[in-house]
Amino acid sequence: MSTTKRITEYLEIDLEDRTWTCTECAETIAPADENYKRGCVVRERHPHEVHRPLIEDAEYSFAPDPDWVRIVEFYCPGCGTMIENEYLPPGHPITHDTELDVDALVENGGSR
Amino acid sequence: MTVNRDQLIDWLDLEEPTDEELACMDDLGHGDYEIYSERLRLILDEGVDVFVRSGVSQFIAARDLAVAIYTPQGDLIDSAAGAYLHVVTGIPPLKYVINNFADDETVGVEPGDVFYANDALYGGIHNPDQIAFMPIFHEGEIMAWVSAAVHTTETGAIEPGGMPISARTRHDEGMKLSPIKIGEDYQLKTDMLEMQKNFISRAPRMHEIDLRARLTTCDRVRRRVKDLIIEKQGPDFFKGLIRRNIEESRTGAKERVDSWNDGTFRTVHFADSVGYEDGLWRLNATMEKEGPEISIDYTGTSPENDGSFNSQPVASIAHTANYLFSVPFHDLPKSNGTYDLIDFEIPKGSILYPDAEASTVQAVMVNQVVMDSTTTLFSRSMYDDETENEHVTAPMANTGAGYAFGAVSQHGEPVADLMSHALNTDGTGGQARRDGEDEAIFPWCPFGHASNMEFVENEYPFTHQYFRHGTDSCGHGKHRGGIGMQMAYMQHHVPAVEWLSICHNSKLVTGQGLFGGYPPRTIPGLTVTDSDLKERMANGEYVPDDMIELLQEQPLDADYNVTSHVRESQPYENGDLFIGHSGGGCGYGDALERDPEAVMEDIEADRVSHWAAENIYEIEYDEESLTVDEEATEKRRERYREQRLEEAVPFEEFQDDWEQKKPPEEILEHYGSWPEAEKEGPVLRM
Repeated sequence: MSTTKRITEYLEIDLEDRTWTCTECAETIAPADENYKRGCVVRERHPHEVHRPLIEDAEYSFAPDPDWVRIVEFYCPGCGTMIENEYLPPGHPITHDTELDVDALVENGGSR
Repeated sequence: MTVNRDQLIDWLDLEEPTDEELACMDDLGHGDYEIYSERLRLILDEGVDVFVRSGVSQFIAARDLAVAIYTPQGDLIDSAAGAYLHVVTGIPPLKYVINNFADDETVGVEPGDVFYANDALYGGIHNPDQIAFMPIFHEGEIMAWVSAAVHTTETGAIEPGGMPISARTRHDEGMKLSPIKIGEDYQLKTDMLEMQKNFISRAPRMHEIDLRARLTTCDRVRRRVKDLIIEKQGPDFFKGLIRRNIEESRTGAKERVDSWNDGTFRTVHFADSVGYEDGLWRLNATMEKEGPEISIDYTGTSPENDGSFNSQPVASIAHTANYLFSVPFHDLPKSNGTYDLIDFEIPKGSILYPDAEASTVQAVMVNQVVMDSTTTLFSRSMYDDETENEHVTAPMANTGAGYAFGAVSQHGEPVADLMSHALNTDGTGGQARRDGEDEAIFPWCPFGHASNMEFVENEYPFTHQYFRHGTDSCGHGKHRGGIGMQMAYMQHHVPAVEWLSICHNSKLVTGQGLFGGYPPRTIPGLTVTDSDLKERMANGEYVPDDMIELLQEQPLDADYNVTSHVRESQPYENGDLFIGHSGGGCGYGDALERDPEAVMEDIEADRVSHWAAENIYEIEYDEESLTVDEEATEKRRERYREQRLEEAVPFEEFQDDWEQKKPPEEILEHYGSWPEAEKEGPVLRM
């Protein structure tokens, strides 16, 4: 029986330790019943670093407006893989996007 | 207002089957269901073909329509589409007729009757979406209902084209019909036709043709079902067949949902317009999934507003069908057996459940965030490395770049339409195993296609100056989203054409990438007016054919107007360019994991730029030969991962700084309280 359950492209849950771990480097990230983002390292980015404006200093630049949205990137603290990102208005709460029934997962050996 | 909108939502659940229906289902013989469910689908497909050949507007030509069959109680049995949301929104107005008019001696339901509805208050999407129903009788008993639905060209609203951006209340939206009988004894009533043409005086000929196309389609399906199934195999066989079809849909979806991860999944998406002005608002969604049951709660979504960007609750639920019926349940019958598994909580007073007086004519634009959100919520639940994750995907562009015009054509005919070319070219999302499809789809109508441009130019007073890839318009990632398209309409033959556009995503994009992928860039509006374009064409001089070139080099002697993509109706003169573009799909996975050779292929095909190869994908390569230095790329990417770790901070530290920030007050007017998005006061509608 596998001791891990893959949950996303870069995250799995270690069913014995009940932790989120990175699929790329096996780094332990956070307790499985917490938001995995709390165990990531985080970088705020100006949207123009990812989306090149087609015109400069314009009200509509063809890139997200930094007054309206920033990019928040969540990395594995072990290998720097970007596990997830969010485009959020500045200061908007971070989303707890995946909250699994860990007891059920452990009980069923990773099934559902 | 007489309609109870909570009742409409409840009507999306299945009615209890009768003992007789269940007994008939049990009596089906081996192979009966397999053969006759397919025959039913072929009849519905024939209905679609009849619809397309009978109608005239862009949406019919594009197959952005739905033909469906319902039980005598009004539950959806199956459909051919087109646009799946139309089959869901057929249920409430049909059940309204069944529950309120069937036993009313002033209305009643008789063989040959035709009912019609287009008021979103009664369960539709918005009033351009219009649906016709007919009962199928056999020996005095209603055996089923059939419907034909499609977006229509014109509604008599305060702006042409059926989707007025500047609407502030429902009274600005034009013709809205509660469910009403418009035909008797297999005849369209002349007075009802006259009434509708009177409402639609901008394009009465087009309206009449499309109205008759709906009725023709209903009647064809009615006759085929009666002749080829009911009379051939008997009414009990038919009752068993339709119940089995619904059961297949319900149990098939149930088994599939049951295999996904249990838990709570959340998304938040943001949008930038309420119609008449820019303004930030959010969709907040929480999905609880346990075994085969799902509930989706939109509590925390921004309050209703005094613009046109609101939605009726059934319209929001129906928008989940665009994803559900085309991705995870694509191979199951399209019945509301699927919706029996899903409960929805939509808070009253939110942008998804506004006051009855609100304008909801841009409901499709509001619900693009519902489509974004549904895709992400389901993808998070269904990820499983023991499968190929065939259905795990980042959201499509879901931009719905709709351009509506009104004019007197080169043939002297009043015409108004919503063009389908840009709509049908959104990129799909990057998927777990592959890139999204380029310029692929109208997310509201997965099996649609744009109409023939030569035909359009022959009928309408403009030409398509160019139609091409939107370079870098995708969301980047390990598997990038499909790219979008860019195009320009040049006004031709006539002095002026009025245009408007409904698409938002000018200040931000509503989509979010998945598992480290990025969403696409924004897509504001651009028009080029008072130019020397036609003079250049007449002289055989250079004519630009690329939006980026127009923006950055401004090769025409002209006025260049960069605005929100949401553009209220205004006239454009002969030779002016009304420029549009669709969005790219959201990206999937960390861009540093993308195969560098795939990026080179994308550069060669003008899908992504050298800038993206350098700054997003971190590739070392020769710009002339597009030859990748694999070892140098690996080292560069490793250095960039280290840079990420150096510049990033622990979550708690980030949170302390982040929580001090807030968007400017002037963009929060329609958001609600910050950051909870709770309603802060009444909405005044003038």
